[in-house]
Amino acid sequence: MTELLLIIVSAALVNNFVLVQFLGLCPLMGVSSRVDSAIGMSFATTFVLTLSSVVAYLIQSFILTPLDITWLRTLAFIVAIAVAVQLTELALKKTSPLLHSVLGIYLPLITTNCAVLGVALLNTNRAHSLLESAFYGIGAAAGFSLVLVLFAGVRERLALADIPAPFEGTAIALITAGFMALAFMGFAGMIRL
Amino acid sequence: MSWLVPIGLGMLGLGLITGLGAWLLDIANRRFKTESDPLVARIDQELPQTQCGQCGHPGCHPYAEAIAAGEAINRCPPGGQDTVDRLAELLGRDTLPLDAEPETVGQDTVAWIIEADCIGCTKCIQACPVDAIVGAAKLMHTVITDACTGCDLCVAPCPVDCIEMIPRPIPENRWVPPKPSVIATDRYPQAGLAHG
Amino acid sequence: MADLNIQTTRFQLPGGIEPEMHKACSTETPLEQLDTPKHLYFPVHYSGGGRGESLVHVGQRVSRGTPIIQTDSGVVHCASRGGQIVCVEPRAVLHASNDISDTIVIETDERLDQDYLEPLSWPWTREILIQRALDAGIIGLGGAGFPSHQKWGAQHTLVINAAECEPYLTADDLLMRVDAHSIVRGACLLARTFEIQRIVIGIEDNKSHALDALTTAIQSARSDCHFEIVILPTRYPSGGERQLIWLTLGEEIQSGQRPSQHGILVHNPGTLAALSRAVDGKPITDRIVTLTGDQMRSPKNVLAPIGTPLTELLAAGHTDLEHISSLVIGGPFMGFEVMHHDVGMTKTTNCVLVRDPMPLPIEPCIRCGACAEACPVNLQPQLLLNALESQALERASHEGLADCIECAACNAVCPSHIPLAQWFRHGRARLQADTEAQQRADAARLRFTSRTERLERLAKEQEARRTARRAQSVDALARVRQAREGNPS
Repeated sequence: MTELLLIIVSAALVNNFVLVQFLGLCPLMGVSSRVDSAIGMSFATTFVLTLSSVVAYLIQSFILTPLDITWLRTLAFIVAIAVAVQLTELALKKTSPLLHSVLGIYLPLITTNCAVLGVALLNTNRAHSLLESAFYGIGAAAGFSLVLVLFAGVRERLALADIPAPFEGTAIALITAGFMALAFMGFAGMIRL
Repeated sequence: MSWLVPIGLGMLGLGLITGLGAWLLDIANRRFKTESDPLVARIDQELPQTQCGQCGHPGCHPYAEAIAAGEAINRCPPGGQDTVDRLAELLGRDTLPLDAEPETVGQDTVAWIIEADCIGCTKCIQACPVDAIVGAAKLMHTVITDACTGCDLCVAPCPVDCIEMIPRPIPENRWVPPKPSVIATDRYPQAGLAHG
Repeated sequence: MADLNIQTTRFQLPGGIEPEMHKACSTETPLEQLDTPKHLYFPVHYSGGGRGESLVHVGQRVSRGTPIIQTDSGVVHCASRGGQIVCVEPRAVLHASNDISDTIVIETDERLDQDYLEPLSWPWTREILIQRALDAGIIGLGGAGFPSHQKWGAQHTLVINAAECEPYLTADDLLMRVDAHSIVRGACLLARTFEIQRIVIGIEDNKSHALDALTTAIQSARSDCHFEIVILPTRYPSGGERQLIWLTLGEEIQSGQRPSQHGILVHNPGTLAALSRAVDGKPITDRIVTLTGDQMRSPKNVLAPIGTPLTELLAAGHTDLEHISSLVIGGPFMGFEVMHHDVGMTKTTNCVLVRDPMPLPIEPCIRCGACAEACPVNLQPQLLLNALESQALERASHEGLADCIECAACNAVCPSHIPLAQWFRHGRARLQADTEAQQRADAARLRFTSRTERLERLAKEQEARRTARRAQSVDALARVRQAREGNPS
C-alpha cells in the first residue's frame, strides 16, 4: 500500500513529468491559455494515460514477451496510445462537442505527448506490476493535470498584464514555466525512488 | 533463415495489436456516432443577428455556415472588430481587420417611419428581415423599435422616402459612463475619490 | 395601536468602511421650506421611470399637481407648483450623463390652486393602489428612482431603509424627525394592501432623534401593524439593499437573485411617506434636500419643490457658483459631478454637496488588497480592475462585476487613489448594454427564422394551389374533349 502511495507522489510531484522531466510540453503551451480548456485537456490526458499504461503493460506481458519481440515495444506502444486517443476523441465528440471543438488539434496530439509514451516505457524499465503501472499512470496524470491547470491560471492573469512586446505570448509563458519548474525542484529528494 | 522468425513473430505481434485496436475503434465508431456540426451554431451565436446581408449572404446563419466552410471572418460590419476578434479566438484562426468603411461601424441605429408621409404600400414590411414593421395595406406602418436591428433594408424600397435611421433611444438607466481618465489632474475631479 | 420591538443587529457586514460622517452641520438647523422659485424645470426623459412624453403644451396653465409627463413605465410626473408652461426646450439634465433632454419650463405664479386626485378610502384593491402610485409619480426616492410599483407583489417582509449610511446625507434623518407619522402610515397601508406580515426598520445608531420620532409615531399609530426596529452600527454601506437585508433579517440574497424572489421588499422612508400622501390624493411635489459641504456657507436641509433650479438651492445655502470648486449631487461615494448648473432638481436629488475634493494623483496598483478587505460584497476589486483595464469584460464578469453595488468603499481605501468605482460603473453599464444587445440579437434571430419558415410555407402552399388549379383545368379540358368526341355535331 505504501509502495503505491509513494509511486503516486513520486510521479505527481517529485518527478513531475512536465516540470522535472520536461515531457509533454506541447499541450502545456498549447492548451493553457484558458483554465476551462486546461481542465478539459487534463481529464482527457488522465484518461488516456491511465488506459494506455495499463494496456501497455498488458501488451508487454502477453504479446511482446511471449513472442520475444520486445524490440518492437516503442512501435506497439504508440499504436496502443493512438487507439486510446481515438477512443477518447470519439467519446468526447459525443458527450461534449463544445470541449471537443475547444481542444481542437491538441486532442489527437495527445498521441505524440511524450509523457504518455514515457510512462508506458518507464513502467517497462522499472518492471512495475499491473497495479503499479496503473498507479504510476494515475500519478503521472495527476501531476500533469496539476501543472497544466496551475499554469493556465497564471497565463490567464498574464494575458491581462502589460507585457513588453518582445516577451508577449509564448515567450513569457516559457519563462513562467521555467519559474514553476524551479519551484518544483523544491520537491527533489522528498522521496528516493 | 532464422532471421525470418523474429520478423515473422514481429509482424504477427504487431498485427495482433493493430488488429485488436482497429476492431475496438470500429465498435467505438459505431457506438459514438455524432450528427451535424454544432460549430455553425457557435459561430452564429457570435454574429449580431442584424440579418442585413452586408456580408454577401442572405442572413447571419448562412454566413455562419460559410465561415465554418472556410470563408473570411471579417465581413460583418454591424458586428464590428469585436466580433472578428471573438470569431478568430473561437476558430483558432488569425484575426483580421474589419472589411468595412469606418463610418458605418459601431452605430446602433433603428429605423423610424415619418408617419405623416407614409402611404401604406407595405413595401418596407416585405423588406424587413425580422418582421419589425407593423402595418397593412392602406394602413399606417410603424417600426417596433425593440425588434429593429438597424439593417436599413427598409429604407431603399420606400417609394416616398419616409424612413430614416435614427440613433437607438436609450433610457436614462442604460447610460454607459466613460472610462475613468488615467490622469488625475482633470478639470473636474471625480466624485468619490479618496478624501479624508 | 401598533406595536414595536427594538433590537440591535446580530449580524455584521463583511467589508465596509467607517469614514468621517460630517452629518452634524446639516442637522443643527431645523428644516426650511424653500420659497417657490420663479421657474421650474421638468426634463421629459430624465425625471425617473424611463423615457417620457409631455402631456402639456406651451401656453397652457397648470396647477400644483397637474400631470405634465407620462413615462414609458406608466409613472406620471406632476407639476410641483402652479404656473404657465413657457416652453418645452432641450436643456441639460441633472443626471450623471449630463445629457440633454426636452425640458418643460414652468413660470410660476402666486396662485395656490391645486389639482389633486381623489383621496382613497379603505378597502381598495392592489390594482387601485398601484394605479394611485403611478398617478402620484411614486419612484424610489432613495436615489435610484426605480418605479416603486414594479417591486410590489408577493412579499411577506417590508424593510424600511432608514440607514442613510452615506456621509453628509441627512435628508432621510430630517424626514423621520418631522414626519415619521407619514412613513409609518405609508408602511401600514402597503402592508395591509399586499398582506405583508413583517415590517422591519433598519436605522443607524447615529440617528437618535429620528429613532425617538419613529418610536413615538409607531406607538401612537391607529393601525395594528407590528414594527420591528433594528439598530445598525454606523458603517458605510450598511444602507445598500442587500447589505441592509443581511443586517436586519440575516438573509443573504444570492448573486443573480432579487430580494422580491425571497419575498422581501425594501423601501426608502421618503417613498413610503409619499405613498401615504398619495393615498390622500397628493402627488409628489416636494422633497427634502440636504445642502452641505465645506464650501456651503449655511448647511441645512430644505423642503424644495421638484424642478427647483440648482442655483436656487445654492442660494438657500447662501452660496454661489463662483465660490465653489465642485458640485456633487448625492453623497461623496455615490454622487455625481454636475457640469451644468442651470438645471432643475428631480425627485431623486437628495443632496447638494459643495467642497474642494483635492484630487490626488492616480498611481499604479500595488496589490495591497485593502480594496478587497473594504468590499461589502466580498469581491476582489484589484482583479476586476486588472480585467477592465485590459478590456476583458468577460473576465471581469466572471470575477463578479455584476454583483458590485458601486458603493466606492474601495475608492476610499486605495493607497494609490485609483478611481475603482468609476471603472466598475463603466464596466457594469457596458456589461448590461452588451447583455441587452445579445438578447435583442437572439430575438432577431428567432424572428428571422420564423419569417423565413413562414415565407417558405406560403411559397409551398401557393405552389400546391397552382398545381391543383392546373390539374383542375387539365381535367376540365380532357372532359370537354371527351364530350366533343362522343358528340360530333
